[in-house]
Amino acid sequence: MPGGRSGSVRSTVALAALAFLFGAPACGGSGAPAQAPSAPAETGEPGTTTPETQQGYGQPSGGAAPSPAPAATESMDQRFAEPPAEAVGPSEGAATSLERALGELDRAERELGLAGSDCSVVCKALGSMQRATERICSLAPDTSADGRCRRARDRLGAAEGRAQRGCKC
Amino acid sequence: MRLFRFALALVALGTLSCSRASSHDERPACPELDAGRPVDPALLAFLSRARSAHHVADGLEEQKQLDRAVAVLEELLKGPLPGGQPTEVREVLSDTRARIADLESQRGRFEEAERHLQQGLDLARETTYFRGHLYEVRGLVEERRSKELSAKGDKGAAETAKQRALGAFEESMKIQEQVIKNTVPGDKP
Repeated sequence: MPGGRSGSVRSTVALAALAFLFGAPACGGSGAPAQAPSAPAETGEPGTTTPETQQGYGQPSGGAAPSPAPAATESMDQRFAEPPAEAVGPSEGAATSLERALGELDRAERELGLAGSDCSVVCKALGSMQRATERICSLAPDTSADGRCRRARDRLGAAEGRAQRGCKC
Repeated sequence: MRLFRFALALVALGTLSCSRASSHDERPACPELDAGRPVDPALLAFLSRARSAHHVADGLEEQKQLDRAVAVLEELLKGPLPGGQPTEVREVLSDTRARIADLESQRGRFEEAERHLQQGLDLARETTYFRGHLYEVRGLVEERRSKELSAKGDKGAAETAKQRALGAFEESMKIQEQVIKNTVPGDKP
């Protein structure tokens, strides 16, 4: 059966792309943000302020507190969370990747919608059209706009375009 | 890694196909799995026999023993056939008739070829690949007939056969185009 083995390989690749796309947000890509750090409790007791809040927001603990040494400040800055993507805007490369990934997702979705046997039929039908076009153009090689060969080629081109939207033949 | 991807593919395919069915209607998500549909042993035996017959015919055709190839395929047509003539059986029979027609026309037996094509078309009445293929073979048969008539000097009859060939090829394209349209939906609005 044409397309059987290659069809299963294609499906596997498509599914891997799907898994990547759905998996990426879970790994912190563009998914929902992790739970935001809670605001420090205003207890007025220095001991209740957690190290995370100090490092994350760098709030001075009050005029009485000594300024940290320059080296310590640099170390804390390095551990600050990166600004949110919305604030910075997506880079051009990321946008292209996203566009490509969405295209792949769209294609994978369509391929999943067609069973392997469907694509086998589509590819066989396309093969039959290709052979028929070849014979028509051999018997009536006139390529004028209303010629039989030209019409057959146009018809074949449209069918190929449609077939490629769902299958790889 | 390959094993993981294969497992992932199986899980995802099963999940997607089953969940999609269940989200749109009340039928069981995977009825063929739930019901454990039995496979007809007579159908399996017929399909196996058909595969073997076509395989033997392949070898004979390669050796240019066209008469023997036709004989092997005609044995398949004679039966036995599974009861009720399910779709698969009709498809195999019509495809076999298309192949016999091709072989017969290579032997110059055009009337025999046309008889098989007509019987194949009686079996494949719906818009399927098989019906389109029968018209494609009819085009080949008429093209061969046209060449033979032309070689004999009968230009008028040759031209008539050529036009029949063109008409058959175009009908084949129309059917196959529809098969593709029916299988691959158009653009989303």
